[in-house]
Amino acid sequence: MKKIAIIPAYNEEKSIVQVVRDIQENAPGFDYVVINDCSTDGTREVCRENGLNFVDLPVNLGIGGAVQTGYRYAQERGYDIAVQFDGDGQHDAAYLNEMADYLVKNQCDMVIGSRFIKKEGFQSSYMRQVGIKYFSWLIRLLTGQMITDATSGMRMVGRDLIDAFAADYPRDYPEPESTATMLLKKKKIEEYPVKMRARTEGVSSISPLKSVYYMIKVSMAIILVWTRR
Amino acid sequence: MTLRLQIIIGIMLAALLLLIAGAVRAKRLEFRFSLPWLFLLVALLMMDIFPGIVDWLTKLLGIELPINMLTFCGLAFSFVLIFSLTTSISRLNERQKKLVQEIALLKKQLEEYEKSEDD
Repeated sequence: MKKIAIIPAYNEEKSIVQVVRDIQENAPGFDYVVINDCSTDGTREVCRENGLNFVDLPVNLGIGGAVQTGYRYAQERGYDIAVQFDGDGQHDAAYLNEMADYLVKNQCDMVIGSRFIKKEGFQSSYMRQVGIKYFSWLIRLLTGQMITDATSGMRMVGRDLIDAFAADYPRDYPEPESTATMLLKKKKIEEYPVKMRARTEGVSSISPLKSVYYMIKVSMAIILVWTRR
Repeated sequence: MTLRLQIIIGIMLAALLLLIAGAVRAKRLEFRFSLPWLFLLVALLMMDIFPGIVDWLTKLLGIELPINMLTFCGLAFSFVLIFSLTTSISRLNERQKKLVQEIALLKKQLEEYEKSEDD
């Protein structure tokens, strides 16, 4: 069974090598690909110097476009399982094989790494948590299923959803929207408890100023998905 | 409407026509995108030559002053045009994203191919 970690990276020169080493050491059996989303820092040079496997986007596409590139890469090369894995060091590769086993054993289409099942590790700020709770509520209202960590960037999918995401993936703030889409398509999505770390380098792609816009936009996107079902 | 105003508007419309035709000739504007502008110019020219049309339309729409009818129609035209522009941009965005991804993946394959040739 071929497994791959998709690592979207925008200005992650300080953390990207460590993230790749984490996967190589703690997730045996997983290949990886870094998607450099036209970083303005030295991410590309760092990838090249360290011989990392990376795809270099010539134009900045944003997180959704970068991750989708990874899914297309996985699709072209016939991977059975693909997992999104942040380039900033928030995620812990030790969970990847546990998640893959869980996905295969329970025949899930997607397994989301959730911080809020065991409530261990970095729990994000209070305001963020309020936002995440709200998304849980909205998704539950429209799909009937509880997703505790809908904004988690640590998501593992099987063949079916690799194809689906390669064909169609939201451009920005993709996680809650794509999760809701797949729930409404009756895909089997479950969560797996993970611990995350506070980011060590770089800044979140979602600044406080943008968060209200983010909430409204994602809400509307999810409702739109619901009307298409 | 005075004859003086009719002539001034007529000159302005002729200038606009030259502007649009020039842009199409120089390929700064695709011909199909010039069509709505040309239709607009023709409509305005008709109103300039036959001011009766303006009064007739105003009555038809149940508007009191001709100027309000013109403003209303102008806004409606702008709305349709801008809406079609935003849908065009959305389509272009999607195409551009696909192309960028395709280029990046092809470049990756090329690098791998060259490396395997070297070995």
